[in-house]
Amino acid sequence: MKILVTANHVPFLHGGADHHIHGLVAALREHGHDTELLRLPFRFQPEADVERLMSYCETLDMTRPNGQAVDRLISLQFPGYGIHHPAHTVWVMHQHRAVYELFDDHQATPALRQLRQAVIDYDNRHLGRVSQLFANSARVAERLASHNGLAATPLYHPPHGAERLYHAEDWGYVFYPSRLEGLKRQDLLIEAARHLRSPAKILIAGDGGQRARYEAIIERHDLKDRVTLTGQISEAQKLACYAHALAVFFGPFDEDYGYITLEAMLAAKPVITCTDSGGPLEFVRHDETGWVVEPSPEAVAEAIDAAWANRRLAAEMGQAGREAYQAHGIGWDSVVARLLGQEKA
Amino acid sequence: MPPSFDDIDRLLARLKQEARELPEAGNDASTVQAVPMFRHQRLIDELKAARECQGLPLVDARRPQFVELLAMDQGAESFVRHLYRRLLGREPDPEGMAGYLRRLPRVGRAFTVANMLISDESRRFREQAGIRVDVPAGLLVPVKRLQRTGKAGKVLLLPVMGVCRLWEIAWRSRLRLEARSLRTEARMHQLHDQMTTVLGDVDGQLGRLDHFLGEQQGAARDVQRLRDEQAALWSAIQHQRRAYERTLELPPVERGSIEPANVHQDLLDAYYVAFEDACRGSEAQIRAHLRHYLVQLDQARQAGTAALDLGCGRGEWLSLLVEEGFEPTGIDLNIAMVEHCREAGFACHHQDAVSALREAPDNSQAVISGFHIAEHLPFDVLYALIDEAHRALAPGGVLILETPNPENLLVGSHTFYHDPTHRNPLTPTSMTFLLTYHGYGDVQVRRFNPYPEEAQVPGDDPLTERVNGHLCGPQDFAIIGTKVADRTEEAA
Repeated sequence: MKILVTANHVPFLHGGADHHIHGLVAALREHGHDTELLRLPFRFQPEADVERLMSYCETLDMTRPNGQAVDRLISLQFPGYGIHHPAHTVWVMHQHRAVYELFDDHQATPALRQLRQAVIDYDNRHLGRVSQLFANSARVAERLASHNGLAATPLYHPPHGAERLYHAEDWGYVFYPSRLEGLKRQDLLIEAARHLRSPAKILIAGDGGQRARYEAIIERHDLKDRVTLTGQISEAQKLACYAHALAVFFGPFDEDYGYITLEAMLAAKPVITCTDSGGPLEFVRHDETGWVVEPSPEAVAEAIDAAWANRRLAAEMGQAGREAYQAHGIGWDSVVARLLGQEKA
Repeated sequence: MPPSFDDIDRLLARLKQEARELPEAGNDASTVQAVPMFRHQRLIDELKAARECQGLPLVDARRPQFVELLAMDQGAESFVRHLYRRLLGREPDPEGMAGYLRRLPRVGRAFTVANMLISDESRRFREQAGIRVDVPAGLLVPVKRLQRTGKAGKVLLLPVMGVCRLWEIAWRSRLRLEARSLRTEARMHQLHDQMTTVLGDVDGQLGRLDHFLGEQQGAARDVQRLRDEQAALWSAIQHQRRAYERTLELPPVERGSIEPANVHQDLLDAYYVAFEDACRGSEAQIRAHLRHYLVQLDQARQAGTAALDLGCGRGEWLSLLVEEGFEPTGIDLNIAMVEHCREAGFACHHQDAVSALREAPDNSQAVISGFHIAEHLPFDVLYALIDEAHRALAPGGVLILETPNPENLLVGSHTFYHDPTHRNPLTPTSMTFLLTYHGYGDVQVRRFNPYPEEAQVPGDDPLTERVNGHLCGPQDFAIIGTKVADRTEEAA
């Protein structure tokens, strides 16, 4: 069938969203659907720009543009889900976060306040009437329920290059690949090194705004023999680092979804995460496929020591994680089937 | 005990090494370790075992229904065991079983269920396991009340028991039917869950099979290539035979270093040291590069610790060999280099490569290496070097020859000729054949030192990729071969 996918385009800001968008389009095409991608130019500022794009979307009808019948419209992001189509499936990657979970009442400008009300109305109006409503993860579905009272079904998709992840003997280190940002909390892991009783090493990959601060922590506590910030690494290096890890740490604050959990599970490695980490908690079972601990360096260190103390058990937990991943049935095939309503939940 | 690394830099180097050896996405994936197979067998075993050992299944294990607990279609013993498992979470002890079986005909099943439900043990277990049981309040309340009132209550219990008994008898066939139908439903749920898991697993396996199928196709291409090479081998054998026949008639050719005609060798040596100093990379760069070969050293270790480095230069490689626990000897034709190495405390001889190799006993060396010497040698000398090295290597020992890589056009047409003592570039293909021909096993080409990212033409279209590949690709390559144990020796 003819399928139109809508998403935003934020020039020169690339990340997980692009993988998600292109992954979906590729999967739809692979299933023989004539698929095109419509990307809307998006600017976060000024707020009036966002409102203009919202009203523009509301005027668009993609049922039969220029006489070309479109069988299905699939929207991934705000505000594309305001475009009109009788068979409109929405798979919410995340809402406009600036007016929801990141909104701070004390610091908000009048313009942002006004936008907030407009966006909430827009979401309620359009998301409430689409044919099918999915969320990127249970965490996103929860937010839709609490902010807008909307019921969305969580629908998971595989991380990029899932088939290339492999498993190999552990070389006694904990791995954490992510952008070096405050919300990702690499400092929990770095500080955990001060409390370790075992000689486990810590490899932190990625780059970002917090690099200098993290380097300073390592310097201050003289942890450079235990902890390394590798900087940006290649795809192949990431695969090798996953393969030989003793365990993977993924303890961000309130993550939407988080590919790292899934990648670790695919490499059959146990995951250490925190009680307030959001997305990973949907997958990690404490003492079965990893450790769910308080967000404190001491608790993280204890989990790492536990993994070191019984490396065979840690390996078994990794295997259990891989099985859990399979049991979730995460794959583009099932995503396509669910989005097109060809399979019941 | 799995390995761990005391030194975090060493750990990183190994990881990077492994990453470099991973195939590019979408290319031949044969070196990627197979993903371990999961569950398959265990699930089949579970399915087989499900009938025998799981006892009587419930529609919802956390909310047993009264009819399910009564299990009127089951014998007395099976009923008691079922109650123990579901309400106490354990197997019955022989004493308990005997007691229940004795009382059962008198008190009936409904009363037995109620009695067990109000016990402290069952309450604790249900609370812990989150189990809720729906039992008619009309039954549970009087049993609970009367049990508390002591002896008088016990007497009053008798009529309750009687009513229960009569109810059970009156509805026996109906209760039996319901129990059976609920159990069928429970079994269906169980099977459905197992089926879903098995299908998920099979789906995963199919995905992997697809992947392996791709690898197989790669292997088929390799077989074709081997067939092609076979022809070349036959012709080589004929050449060999003729060459052998000629040596029977002619005296062997004397091979040695060529005397310079006009300029004294010492002057040339001094020039060459100066040239190398001007062109060589930093100590740290060279060291970092040589660490690429740690994998080969790990492999060679099984063949002993003796190592011979041909053209050892300033001894950077000798130093790494010593660090890794080998006992290397360096060979160099340049007396200045030899002295430098001796001062640094290494064993080092002033000698040409082939005669040094000829002096080495059979099967004596774990590592024989030559960094950037092959391109200085006339072909017959290179040929003899590879042949003698094979003889001198112990089974499992490794030969490493590194040389400029003419696949990079700038190397082949330009930088190669910076060095006045270079003869002609050697190609990975010809070197692979040369080692294979001499009987080395596991012959591999490793490519190093591409131009840095910033020197490349930006873009990712096919034309740019090709330009970058030809002009900015790896500037050096190493040919690596392993001495394979001689079968006849093994047998002896």
